[in-house]
Amino acid sequence: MGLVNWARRKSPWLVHFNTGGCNACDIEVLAALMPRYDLERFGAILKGSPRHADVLVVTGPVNMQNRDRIIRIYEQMPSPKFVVSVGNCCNSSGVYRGAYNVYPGLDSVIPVDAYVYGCPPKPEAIIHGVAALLSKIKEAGQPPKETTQEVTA
Amino acid sequence: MSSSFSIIVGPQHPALKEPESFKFTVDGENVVKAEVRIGYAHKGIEKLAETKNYIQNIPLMERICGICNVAHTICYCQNVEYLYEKEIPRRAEYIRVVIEELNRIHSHLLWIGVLGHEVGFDTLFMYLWRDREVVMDLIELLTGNRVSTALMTIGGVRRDITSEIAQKLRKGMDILEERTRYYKKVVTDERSLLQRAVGVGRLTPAEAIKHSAVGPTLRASGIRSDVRSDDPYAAHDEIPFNVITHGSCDMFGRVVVRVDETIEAINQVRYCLDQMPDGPIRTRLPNTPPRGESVSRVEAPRGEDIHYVKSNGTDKPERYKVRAPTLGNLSALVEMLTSKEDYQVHIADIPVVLAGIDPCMCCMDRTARFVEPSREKEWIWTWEQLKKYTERM
Amino acid sequence: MSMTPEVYRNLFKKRATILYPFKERELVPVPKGLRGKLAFNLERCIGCSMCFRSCPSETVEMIDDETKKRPKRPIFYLDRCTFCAQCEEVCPTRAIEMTLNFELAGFDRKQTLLK
Repeated sequence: MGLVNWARRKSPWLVHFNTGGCNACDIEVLAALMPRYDLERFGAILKGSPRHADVLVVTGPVNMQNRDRIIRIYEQMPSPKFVVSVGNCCNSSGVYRGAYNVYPGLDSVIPVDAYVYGCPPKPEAIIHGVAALLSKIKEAGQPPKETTQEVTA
Repeated sequence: MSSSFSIIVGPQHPALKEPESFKFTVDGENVVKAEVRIGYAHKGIEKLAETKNYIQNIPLMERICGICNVAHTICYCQNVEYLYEKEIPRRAEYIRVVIEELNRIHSHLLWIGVLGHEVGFDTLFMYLWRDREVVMDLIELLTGNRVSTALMTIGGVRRDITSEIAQKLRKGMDILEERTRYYKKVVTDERSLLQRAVGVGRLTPAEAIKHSAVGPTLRASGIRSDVRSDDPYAAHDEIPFNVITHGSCDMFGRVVVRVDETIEAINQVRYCLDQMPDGPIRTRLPNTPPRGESVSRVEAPRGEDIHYVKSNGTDKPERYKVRAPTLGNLSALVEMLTSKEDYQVHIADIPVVLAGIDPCMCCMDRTARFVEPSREKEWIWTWEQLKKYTERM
Repeated sequence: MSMTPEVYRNLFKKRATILYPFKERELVPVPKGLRGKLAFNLERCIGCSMCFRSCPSETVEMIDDETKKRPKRPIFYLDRCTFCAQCEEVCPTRAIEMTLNFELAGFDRKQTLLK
């Protein structure tokens, strides 16, 4: 089990989805993969399909049209899987609080493992968040939850 | 007899960075018809702006789009200043032009890198985004955050350009000019890029005007139209610059227009730093503007951006309307993706053409108001009706 | 073919990557005016509610003060903050300050309440 856990935390493959955000957090997630900050040092690579990925990186507030799509993407990923929510719009509907079709945070739709705060967070803060997630996996030592559960905000 | 087949390029796709959905009807390798479905990025910003006062709306307008946020905040602040009918200090207008042109440089360099990524030329993508970090560091030095600048307020700007910042800006502009001229040589000579960009995404001048294209998409079809020279705002009447057009009407023209606009923006920043007037940077204005309506236009990196405000004498706006540039380009996009007798669109051209209009779908998603023919009268949703309708879903 | 000489030239240059977070933390550019995490000094607050009136995302909530020195006092929900620094600008006694701390990542949203 130790060898499998070591392999899991040395190569987390990412898939990225933007649930209707303003694109600022998206270009900071892309900038974190560029030569200056290079998230690929940690073994991460950006894949196109959720069926190939371990970590789902979500940006943007979840609105009504996107809710079914993101649940479907989450269920297509093979377990064990992790979710990182980047940006304050994803954590708690940010500046759009009170709008008529925005949910109060991603964790009212799918379970979230790590939160990165900022509007938008610097690429260094995103790397800090991914490193914190990897250290959480190392401490846990075993794969976390494998079934979806609804978490209320 | 050939059978037609539908391909859906859905909200989650490796080529798209934003949620939008397209449905293409293909016949062999040629695309016959294209349909667009929008609405994935709708958040209700216009209705939300009616519940916050004018100062609270500034960060909300900044987050209509993260990449062209300076254009939206300049448009909003100008709009409200027109309601007061007061002038802002000259130094504030020059600082607004400096940050606006820095934003244009970063947006165009981002776009050329994304084009390299869509074409498959990842080397250009990586090198260009490494050199783009120069301008991101300068924006962070001036404003405090790399992307969301928060420099504007109603009546002027919030931070000043000191002489150390001006010196670093000049050094950064020299580095950027040398690198941008090198990338211009690359995109005009590199054979793999030319094979995928020349002749792709054709938009003739008549079609461009008929489908209301704006921005570099329009200027690459040879039509000379730019808000900074037609209807100058915020110190653009004193700063000399050239409007860049190109007559080739395809993707190659759009690339050349954007690279040349980056060089023009570098020259404008240098001129502003040399000719910056002295004086205060903001004027204090009262909380509630007088009654009235106002329209303001700004040249965002993607095209012409129009805002409308209506005020009824309280400290919250009564109605706010935004028309983002990508909405104008959307009909031209469908035209570019349809095959005709003398112009074939292949499936492999789809990501290149989609990236070619520089889509910013988050700017664009507003609701439409439908009139039922049986009712024969229009109504406007109130806040309570909207909340009840969305809760039921 | 114009990219090829550039690629060869870059073989002999310094690497462009900053090895954050485990080494080279001092190479990360942190300018003086960076808008990082909020810091609040309760002693200077007078309870005027100007921060509440200029916040765009309901980060600031005014609650009753236990010490009764001021009519109300603010608390901050930092997971809604947009880091726009408008509260810092309008505060008349400079009780709110934006620090240079940008390393904000966590596993629990309840720990972001600032008193």
